Parts: sequence; C-alpha cells; structure tokens
Amino acid sequence: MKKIDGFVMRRLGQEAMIVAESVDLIDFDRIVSLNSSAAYVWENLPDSDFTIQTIIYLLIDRYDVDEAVARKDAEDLVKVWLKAGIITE
Amino acid sequence: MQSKYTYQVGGNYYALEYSNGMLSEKDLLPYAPFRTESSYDDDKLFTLSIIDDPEALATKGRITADLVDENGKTTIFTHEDGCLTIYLTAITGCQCCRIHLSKDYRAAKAWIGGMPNERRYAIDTALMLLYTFASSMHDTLLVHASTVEYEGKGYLFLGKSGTGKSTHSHLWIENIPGTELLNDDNPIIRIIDGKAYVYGSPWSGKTNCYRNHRIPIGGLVRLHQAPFNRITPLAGMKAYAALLPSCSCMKWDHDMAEAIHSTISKVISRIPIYALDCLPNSEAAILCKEELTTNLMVGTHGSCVRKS
Repeated sequence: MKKIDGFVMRRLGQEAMIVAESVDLIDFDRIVSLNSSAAYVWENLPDSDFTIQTIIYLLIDRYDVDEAVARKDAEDLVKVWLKAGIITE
Repeated sequence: MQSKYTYQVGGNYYALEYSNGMLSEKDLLPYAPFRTESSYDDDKLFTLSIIDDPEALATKGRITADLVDENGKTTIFTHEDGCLTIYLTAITGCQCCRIHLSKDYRAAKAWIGGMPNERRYAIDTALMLLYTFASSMHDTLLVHASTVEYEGKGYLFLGKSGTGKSTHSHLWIENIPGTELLNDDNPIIRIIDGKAYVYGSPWSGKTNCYRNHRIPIGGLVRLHQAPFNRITPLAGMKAYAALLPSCSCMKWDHDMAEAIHSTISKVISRIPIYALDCLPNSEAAILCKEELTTNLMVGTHGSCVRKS
C-alpha cells in the first residue's frame, strides 16, 4: 500500500486531519479526521510502499497491545483509509 | 502617459501601472471605490504593470495546473527560477490574459486583450489571483461567499456553485429590515489584532456591489440545499471543513497552504460557524438570522429544526 501523493496531515488544536494539497486533488474538498493513534500511524508511515505489518509494528511499538489487537486495528484503519481514498492498495 | 494607482483592498495595498489607452475607466469601474491617494510604497502586496505586447509573455515554463471553472480556464506554468506564467482563457475560448509573476508574488506584468466582457474577466481574475497569492501570508483569506451586513456585523454564506448563496443573501435583505449586501461573491476575511473582520471587495460576481467597507464577522454559514430548514452549529474540524473549500489558494504550494491553514485555524476559533440545510424561502433566512444573532456562544447550543 501507499499514501496517495498530495494528502497532508494537519493539526487543529488537539485534532488531526488529512487534507488534499496537490493539483491532482484539486476537486477533493473533503477532510479525513484522524484520532490520535491514526495520526501517529500516518506520521510514521513511509512515503514509499508499506504493508499491514508496517502498521502493526508501529502500533505495537507505541501502544501496550498484543499482535492480534494491533492487527485488527491496522486492518480497520486500512479499510477506512482506502474508502476515504487517501491510500491505494 | 503612464498612470500608477494604489488600491486598498481588505486593508492591504497594491499598485496598478498602465499606459494611456491600455485600460479604460469601464475596465476599472469596480476598483474605483478602493483607489487611494496614499502611495504606501513599502507596504504594497504587489505591483501589477499592464503591458501591450503578448509576445513579451510567451515563455511559459513547466505546466503546473490547468484549472477550469464556470467563467473560464486558468493555466499556471512554473519557471525554473520559481516565477510563474499564468494564461487565462475566457469561457468564449479567447485567450485574454497572460501574466508573469515573480517568485515572491510581489511583481507582476500582464497583457490583457479581448472584448469588453473578456477584458473584465481577465482583469478581475488576474487581480484576484495576485491578491490571493500575495496576501496569503498576511492572515487574509479571499473567500467565495455572499455576504450581508446586519446591525454592524457581517454574515457570510458559503456553498458550492448553484447552492443559493446570493439567493440566501437576498432573502435576508427582503425579510430582515436593516440588512444590506456587503459583497455577493468574493469578500475578504482578515484577522486583525486577534479579531475576525470581513471586507467588501472589487470582486462581487454578477452583482455590482463594490463596497470598501469593513465590519466584524457575526457568523459564517455553509449552505446546503434541502427539503427543510435546519441550522447546526459546527466546531473544530467540521467548522474547518466548512470554510476550507471556499478559500482561494494554490493549495499545492506548501508555504501558501500552510499560511491558509494557519489563518483558517484562527478564523474558526473566533467566530460562530454553522451548517444551514435550507429551502430558498423566507423562513430559512429568519431561522438563520435568529440563530446567529441570539446565540453568540459557539458550540454550546443544540441543533434547531423548523419544518417547512
């Protein structure tokens, strides 16, 4: 998977969101909100390709969770982000 | 003879230079209320010089963006040194403007051609682009909105094209005594000494309403067409999302996007922001006015529904 070029994370007080900032995304006028763990994952994912495992490692590294819980969270996150159109398979 | 005028728009200054015959009084009609006698040489956002040879602006650079809207097409080219060339094509298909803009957005040259309507499109679009680029670092937003003044405060109505922004302003004017139009298409929002203000501008769409006037903002409302009238207060990210799509910006330019983000963040923390699902009727305007003028605390009141 890969982040789609042009999506940028911005903070608003305690909140975090993804906004579109590129010519190709000129008509994308939605904002995708991120909770604190999603914001942490987005910030730490590479701009190059990543897998579910990359997200699982990030979650385990930061939060006190076992792999099964991290996997479930990672899968949920990927599903939401694919639907929102901010990452590609 | 060379003419040079300074204009004050949204509290920011810019200069326009041209030789006799290049621009007519008619071309500059919307700008007349904004002309100032002061020179403010150091303080200007930008200086635009009108030239008469389109060939002098023929080098384009790398194409960066090709943006089409209901009025025409804006094509932006970036040169290796960071300068921009911008071509404007009117809806008639006529290329009616070429602009060269320095990297810091402070010095621009433009050629303007075409029939009177195309010239008006060219001048207005060129100045709006230059104004947006150069003012973005100064807590300034050029927004797409219709705006009314009521009891000394400004109320901005935002929404996609065709949603009924102008219609909603007119419903206020017809049904709420003391309401006046401030601007029908592109008012300017600024944060000054921590307070949010709205200014009229020379850009008001199809309505001749070019008011050089500033008032504190009473509220900002994003309109959505609906088979009923309902007003909902917005806070945080929802308020941000209500304002962002209506702000002019080259959002692919990192510094500009950053500056606009910072200004929007300041605006939404200072003024009440709402979503209004509405019909084009007087009840919508009255509901909106009641909510905006009686509940001034942001985010402490619930949604208010009135069926029509």
